[in-house]
Parts: sequence; structure tokens; C-alpha cells
Amino acid sequence: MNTVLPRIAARNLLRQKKRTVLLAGAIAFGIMIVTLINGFAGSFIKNVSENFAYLMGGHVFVSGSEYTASGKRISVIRDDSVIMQALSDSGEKWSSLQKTSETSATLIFESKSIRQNLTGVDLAHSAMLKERLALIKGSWDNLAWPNAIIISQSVAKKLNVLPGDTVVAQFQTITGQNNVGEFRVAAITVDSSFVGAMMTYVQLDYLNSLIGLGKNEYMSLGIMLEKLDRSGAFANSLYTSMKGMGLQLFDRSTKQQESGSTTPFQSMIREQNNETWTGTKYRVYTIDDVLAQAKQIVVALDTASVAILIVLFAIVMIGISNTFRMAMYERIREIGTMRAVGVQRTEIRSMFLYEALFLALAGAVAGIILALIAMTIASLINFDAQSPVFLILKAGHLSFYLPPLRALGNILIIAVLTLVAVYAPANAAAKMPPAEALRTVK
Amino acid sequence: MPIIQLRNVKKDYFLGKVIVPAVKGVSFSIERGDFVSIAGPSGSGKSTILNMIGLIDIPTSGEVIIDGKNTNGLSDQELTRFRHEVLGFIFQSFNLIPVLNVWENIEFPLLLGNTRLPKNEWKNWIDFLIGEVGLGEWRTHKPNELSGGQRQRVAIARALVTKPSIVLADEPTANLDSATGEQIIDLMKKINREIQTTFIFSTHDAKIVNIADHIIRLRDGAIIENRRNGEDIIDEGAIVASVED
Ligand SMILES: Nc1ncnc2c1ncn2[C@@H]1O[C@H](COP(=O)(O)OP(=O)(O)O)[C@@H](O)[C@H]1O
Ligand SMILES: [Mg+2]
Repeated sequence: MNTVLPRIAARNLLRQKKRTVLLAGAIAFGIMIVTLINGFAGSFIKNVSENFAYLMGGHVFVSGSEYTASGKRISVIRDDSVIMQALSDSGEKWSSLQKTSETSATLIFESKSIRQNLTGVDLAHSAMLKERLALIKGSWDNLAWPNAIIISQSVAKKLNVLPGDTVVAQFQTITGQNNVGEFRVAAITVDSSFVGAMMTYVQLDYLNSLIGLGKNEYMSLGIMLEKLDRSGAFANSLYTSMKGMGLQLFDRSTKQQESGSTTPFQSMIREQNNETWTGTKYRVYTIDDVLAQAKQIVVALDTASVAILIVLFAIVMIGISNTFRMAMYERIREIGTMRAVGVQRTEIRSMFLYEALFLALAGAVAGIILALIAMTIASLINFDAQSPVFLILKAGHLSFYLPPLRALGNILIIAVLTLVAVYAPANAAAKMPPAEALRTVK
Repeated sequence: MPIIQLRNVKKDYFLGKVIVPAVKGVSFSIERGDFVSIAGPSGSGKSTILNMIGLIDIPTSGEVIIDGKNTNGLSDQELTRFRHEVLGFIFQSFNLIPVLNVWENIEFPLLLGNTRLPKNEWKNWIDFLIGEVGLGEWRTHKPNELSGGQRQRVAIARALVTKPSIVLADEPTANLDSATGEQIIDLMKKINREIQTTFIFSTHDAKIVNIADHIIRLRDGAIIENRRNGEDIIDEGAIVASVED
């Protein structure tokens, strides 16, 4: 292979440094923007899903709904034996189950208070808690206390409490009455996961008794799977299995088509709001159902990035095309000389295309490097525990994931667009009759 | 057999609707190994004729026969290959490739086409040529670091590197002072004697014309004198024309 033409092409790029830097800079800037968007979109759904799974205690959920005598709708699973049967009949595998009840409460210690969501679980037997939580103060043994409460480091700091201290909680029962309860701080957890900092855990039985639920009752069953991407299939077979056992269920499958862009979760909620029933009616849903809109955001971001790429580069390409036309006239005598000495037409064209390709690659690689640097810097920022963007964060930081294929695809798009932009001037240079090129004096 | 034959070659340029007859039907032959001068005032058609011999321009009519091969009707690709294999070029304004250094400029033609010398032979040959043109100390310099005379020496080495049968030089001294110009012509003459390459150079400088073995003098696109080794050559075009009459 003849390497002298690519070599000349590369050196020609360095001849007009300012011009080259400008064009490569424009390409780099565009690629950087697009890469940042891609990087953000790439980690967005993953972070949101993981954070939600942790926050909600599962990948697939079953919850029950019923009306009280006074007509208030409450969330409760009174008897889960049928659900458990349906679960084992479904033939699916899961890694852990977690029964939870929840209430929003104000925790008070001495003169300080903080609003927290209390999640009631079986503290001593929760596999998920043992796996996820890292204690910095207190001990796992304390979790046997009937009124144990596990708080995060940041909550402990706000309330200024230590293990053994007793905090008071103000909250409402399921029927809407005000109530108070005393909790004893059993352990303080590291705010490692960002969502972890938000979680406050108490004993399920104790919480139930305070909010008006009976023993063995709870609000929602969280099912952790080995793999997040199995959740849809899992939920579908559990749904079928529960339906088969004669339970009342909110429809889970066909709603999407009917109501346009709404998610299965939204249509379940809508259905629930529009009808009344007697007894308990169940809902089976997944993290993905809840996050379907977040997924739409990712698709929108990726689509936008491609649109930006094309619009930005339509502009850049006009510049590149004009610059190469100029370069061709500047070097017309060189072209004539090369042709005289024995360089073929097609080789002249290739030489300009090589130059364009090198420019595009240099710009694109620089752009990706700049984006990676920007991502690294952005991910060093530590967000506050109360930050409203916490769901897109990973352990309190922005995180980015750039799918390598997407980066390669972007480079490819730029390379192709640049070659297209330069093809006409390169071809004109190649077609120039040598005598005419040599006669030209600049 | 002559290495070059032109038979009733005409070249018209079209400037809009105006036809400019740059070469008006010339015929001549050039013998292998000769040192040939094409002389004439500016605008007399020297460049046009050299370009047609050099296969970088095509006659409007007539035939250009090089090394026994009629070049009429060859494709651009074939002409390019032919130029690469048979011809070397020296230009008035040197025309080196600015991004290549002296050594690379001379090597450049060897990197084209399909034939390849063994690397070792090739290197020795370039070194020999650099020595011949006296630029041993300058091999890694870029063209813009050289004087005009030095650049033209690089161009001479480049023209010779493919061992062409013919070297064409269109006013090689026009951009040089007269002393340097004479050195360049002397160098070309020396190489012509040493390696028997046919040299054809054009000039409008009467002083250097006479170094040539064969002088073709032009005026207004026609030959007014064709003299080889002191003897006039009868206008071959006139013979062709009279036979055709
Ligand atoms: N591309 C062209 N278009 C029009 N006229 C041309 C062109 N090239 C050369 N000529 C004309 O042809 C004649 C011969 O030109 P040229 O061969 O360059 O002469 P010389 O090299 O002896 O100066 C001149 O009259 C010149 O103006
Ligand atoms: Mg001329």
C-alpha cells in the first residue's frame, strides 16, 4: 500500500494550523456535547432503576387496595398466603422477599426534628437490609429491639442522636388519625448509597400496631430478583398465577395501546381511581412500569443527541467543505506537479479524503476525551442529601455511562459526514487537467 | 529511431468564443540522448509544446509519438502511468512538495505506480543523486529552507529518480539569477552526458540556448529554426504537408 499520500495528507493538515485547529475544534465541540448527552442518558435509567429498587425494596411489587367502612381507600395486604402460593406456582425465581409498611413521620429528639419516611420491615430477618446497609454505629444485635429504628448518618447528625437514644415520631394512622410512637435508635448507617441516606427503617410489627394494621398484615410485598431485566416477565407470570387463583387484580397487560402514551403503571392508577370494588384488589407492577416515563426520557435524549449531531455538523460541514475548496486552490500547483510526476486522479482524490478523515478523527477523539474529562469533573461534585435530583445520582454523584458502540457510532457519523462534505472539492481537485493546474499562478 | 516525434501537432485554446492557435502544426524529431533546447520569446508556444511532449496536455490535432508509441487516444490513467515511467519534469518555479524534505521529495516518484526497486538499491540511488546535485548536507531540509538554485537541484534529482528516458524542463532558469541559471544548465548537461538521458529544456535566454545539441526555435506557434549539431534540419512538417498536397 502506498503510504506517502496519507503521510502528505496528514502533514498538509498541520500546514494551516489555525484553520485545522478551528475545524477540529468545531467537530470536537459537537462530539463533546453529544457524548455528554449520551453518557448521561446511558447511566440515567440504570441509576434511576437501581435507586428506585433500593428505595422501594424490590424489582417487582404486589400491593393490595381496599375500602374502609368509611369509604377511604387504603393500601393493605391482609392475608398473603394466596400470594405466596401464586408466587411459588409461577415457577419464577427470586432472591429475596420483603414485606413492608410505610408511613411518613416527623422524628423529634430534644429540640430537633426531621421529616422522614418510615419503612417497616422485619429488621432482624431482612436479607436485603443485611446486604445493603453498612453500620457505623450500633449493632445488628440491637435489631431485635421491638421499637428499633435504623437511621442514616445524615439523619443522626441532624437530630444529634446516638444508638440507645429514644426519638419520638409523629404520624397518621391509615385511617387518618394523629398518633405518636417512641423509637429507640438501634443503628446508624453509612450514607454510602445516596438513596440509603434517605431511608429510615423500623420494625414492621411495631409500625403496623402504631398505624392501625394487624399482625401479619402489611402494605406491599417487594420481590428482589437476581436480574433487573427479568422483572417484566416475572411480573407477568406472577400476575397470571394470581389471576388463576381467583384474586382480584388491576389489569396489567393491554392498557398501553388504549390510552396512548400512558404507562402500564399510570393506567393501573387510573383504573383504580375510576372504579370501586369490595374486598382487596391487587396490583402487580415492576420498577420498569414505574419508570416507563424515565425510559422515554432516555429515548428522547438519545434522539435529541442524534438531531444535535446532525444539525451541528451540517453547519460544521459547510465550513469544512469551503475550507477544502480553498485548500484545493491554494495547492493547485502541487496537485499539477503530483499529476505530472505520476500521481493518478483517484489518488489525488484519496489524498484530500485522507486529510478530511484525519481531521474528523482528530476532532472526534478530542471531543470524546473532552467529554470524558467533563464527565469525570462533573461526577466529582458531591450532591447534598436533600438534593431533588437524587434519583439520577449514584452514591450522591452524577454518573455517566457512555456505551462504546454509541461513541463509535458518533465517530463513524462524523467521519462519513466529513467525507461527504469534502468529496466534491476532492473530486474537483482530481479532475483538474494537469496542464491547467500547473499553469495557475497564485 | 527518434525518441520523440511530433507530427503536424496543433494546439488551439478556446477563450470563450475566441480560438487562440498556440501551436500551429509543428513537426520535429528528437534523438535519444540529445540535449535539446526549445527557444523563443514569451508566448511563442514553448510551454504548450513541452506540455504535449510531457503528456500533461493533449494536442488539438496531430500526433505525439514517444519511444515509438503513439500517445493519441490514451486514457488519463494510461498517460499518467506513461509519464511516471518514461518522463521526468523540471519546472520554472521548482514545484517541490512543501511538506516533504529534500530526501522525501526526491524519493516521492519512486513511491508511485506499481514498480518497486529493492529498498537498498533505491536508497543508494537517491543518495547518489543527492550527491550529484550537491545537496548532501541538505537532505532533511524542507524546500522553504533552500535557495532557488538548491530547490531546482532537488527538482533535477527528483526528475531523474525514476531513470526516465526523457527529462523535460520548462524554463528551468527563469526564476534564477544568471550565474545560478548557468550552473543549473551545466548540471543538466553533465548528467545528460553521464547517464545518456534525453533533456529538453525551453528558454527565452539566448545565452544558454547554445549549450544545446539540438535547438528548435519558435515564433508565434511555429518553428522558425531547427538545427542539430550545427546543421539545419528540413522542416518535417513541410514534407508531410507537401506529400499530403
Ligand atoms: N490556457 C490557455 N488559454 C488560452 N490561451 C493560452 C493558454 N495557454 C497558453 N495560451 C496562449 O498560447 C500561446 C502560447 O503560450 P505558451 O505555450 O505558454 O508560450 P510560452 O511558453 O512560449 O511563453 C500564448 O499566446 C498564450 O497566451
Ligand atoms: Mg512558458
